[in-house]
Amino acid sequence: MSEYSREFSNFPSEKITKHNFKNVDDTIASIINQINSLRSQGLYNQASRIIQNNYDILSHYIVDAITFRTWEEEIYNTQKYARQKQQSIYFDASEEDFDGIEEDVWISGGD
Amino acid sequence: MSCNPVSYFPNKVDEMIFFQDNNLENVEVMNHYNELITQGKYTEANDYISPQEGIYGFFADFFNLIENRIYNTQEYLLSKPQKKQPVIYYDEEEHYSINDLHVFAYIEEEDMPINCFHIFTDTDEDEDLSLVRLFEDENSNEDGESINIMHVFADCYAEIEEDFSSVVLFSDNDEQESLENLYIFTGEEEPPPNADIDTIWI
Repeated sequence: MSEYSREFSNFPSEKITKHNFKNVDDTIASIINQINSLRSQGLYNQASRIIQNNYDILSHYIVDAITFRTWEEEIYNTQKYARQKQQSIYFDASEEDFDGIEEDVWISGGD
Repeated sequence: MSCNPVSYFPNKVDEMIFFQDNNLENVEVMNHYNELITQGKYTEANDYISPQEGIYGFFADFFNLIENRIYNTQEYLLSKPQKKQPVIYYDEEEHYSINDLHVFAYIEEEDMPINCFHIFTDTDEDEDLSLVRLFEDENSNEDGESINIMHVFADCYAEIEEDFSSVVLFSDNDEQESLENLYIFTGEEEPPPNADIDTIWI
């Protein structure tokens, strides 16, 4: 059986950690405006530092590449787990056609 | 974007969102929303866009919807019982301990002739009994007794019992078999006792 992907997901040991996303509102406006202002001036490093320093708060408002990679990996691991949860029996004439995983059963139909 | 982020799986399959780009009919709504965002009126922008119909965008409800569906699917899978092994490999031939068998030098009335049984060197191939010899002494394989005059009993009720430790089993005249490899085949095939209707037994 091939291994789970472990860069962002710990499934099936742990379920996905939900972000509880929120739309930006006036309670977070000051930080957002500050970040946008720095970006508009080309001060990306300073904007990045503000994000890092306030990551716990901002994580509810940010969807970035890590978020998408995490979702992709969670789905990937979930599918792997689901597939091996049920043993399957394959009837294929050739072992090359057998697409099972460990503990599946391959029964050759012969020629 | 008015979408319900709650996942109802596994009670039902969640409906698809069919996320799409906004079309020209919604351009004025989106322009107004973006204008409010540009002005930093975030709460007002949210209040404006939430009740709008047919608006798609990267809003919190949509992202929470994705994570809730992943979470519920994972939780459902983890709650499933361990998979049942539907295939078992069952050797219907009964294996008796050699210590349960008794060989006697004479025939009792209730004994069972050895011809009723089969001797295997493995579970696949029946050995030719004519090639099997039982010897009182493993060194005297030239004058071994024919198996046809030997008898096997399920239990011991005779006084004159042969010492099994002195009996040697051969599958042919050259190679001695271990007594551990002696199997007794009981005849008709029966399903494994732990098989049910969903079990494939080989």
